[in-house]
Amino acid sequence: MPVAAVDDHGHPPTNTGISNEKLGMWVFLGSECLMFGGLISTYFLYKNRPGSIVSVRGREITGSDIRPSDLFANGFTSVTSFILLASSLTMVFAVAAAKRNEMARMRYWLGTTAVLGSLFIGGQVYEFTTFVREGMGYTSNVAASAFYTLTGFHGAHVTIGILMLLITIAMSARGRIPHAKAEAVEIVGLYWHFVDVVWILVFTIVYLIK
Amino acid sequence: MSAVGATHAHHDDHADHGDGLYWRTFVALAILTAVEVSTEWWPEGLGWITTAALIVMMTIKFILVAQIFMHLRDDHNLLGQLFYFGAILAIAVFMGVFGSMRIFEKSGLGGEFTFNDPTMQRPLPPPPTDPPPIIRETTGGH
Repeated sequence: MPVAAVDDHGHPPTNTGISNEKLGMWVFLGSECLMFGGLISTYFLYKNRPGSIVSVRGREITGSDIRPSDLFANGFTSVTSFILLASSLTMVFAVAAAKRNEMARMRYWLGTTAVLGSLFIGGQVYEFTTFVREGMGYTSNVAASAFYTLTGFHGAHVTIGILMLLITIAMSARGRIPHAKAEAVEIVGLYWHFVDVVWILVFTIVYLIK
Repeated sequence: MSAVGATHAHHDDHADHGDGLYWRTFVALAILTAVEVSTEWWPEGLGWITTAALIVMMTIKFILVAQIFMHLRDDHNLLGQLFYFGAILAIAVFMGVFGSMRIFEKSGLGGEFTFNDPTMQRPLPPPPTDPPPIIRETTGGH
């Protein structure tokens, strides 16, 4: 009996039954856990450091004593966090629609997800701008640097996710994502949900835990 | 169908739970987030209880998104093992880092987190004094 060259979804068979693309995305997300773990830990270590420190060579480095926690407006950040959570809901609706071959509905939910993600990014830009106006720049002190690096990296991930959503919508509108390739939408969704998961950690550890 | 083809059961054909499960998950996430934010107004005396509650709620939210929205509950076990291995490895590595820096040593969960960075404990050195003026000897020659 001949071995099937491809399965119903157009993929060559794999031993695990998981497509290489999906497995690759999960491996990537597992490694991202380590990267964000490092950034969160760095913030955790530096968040109480004073503005002025002494270098290992004994040189005094003067910096601002404004810490990120002095400027947090948790009411505003709660709203943006809720928006990102809502975007995970719309993303999962998009994946479900793709599996049901409802491509127009899928594009609608993907577009909604992109809009919610853009609102989150807008909120982050507003927050950063406010912090800078209050006198906490990227190099004001090590706590500020760690904060901007962590949340900035997360914002960059959200921005890349929005681009992925828009590209997926454009490809689907041109008919380049047929039902057989609906897994592509699921893989984009995995990335988006991961971004949400990371924010769940950042919001609690950075903004809420004193 | 070949044996290989037969074993290639795609797990993306997850059991269709309908939108109801996703809505319920979202409502649970929203309620947990609201309770998390409410800790801002919890009495400060609760200390480590507030921190522990926040960590528990954060973990529940993490698992809900991973299991339901990312479909780990219905997907191949290998995917969950990969993801949770990464997450647990990250926690283990960085807790080890924290331990090596004695971050929990000073006052525990209820107090200030500090670590044994010598630059935090060493007083600033006195400002450099001006060097003594150089007095040039005059030779008196013409």
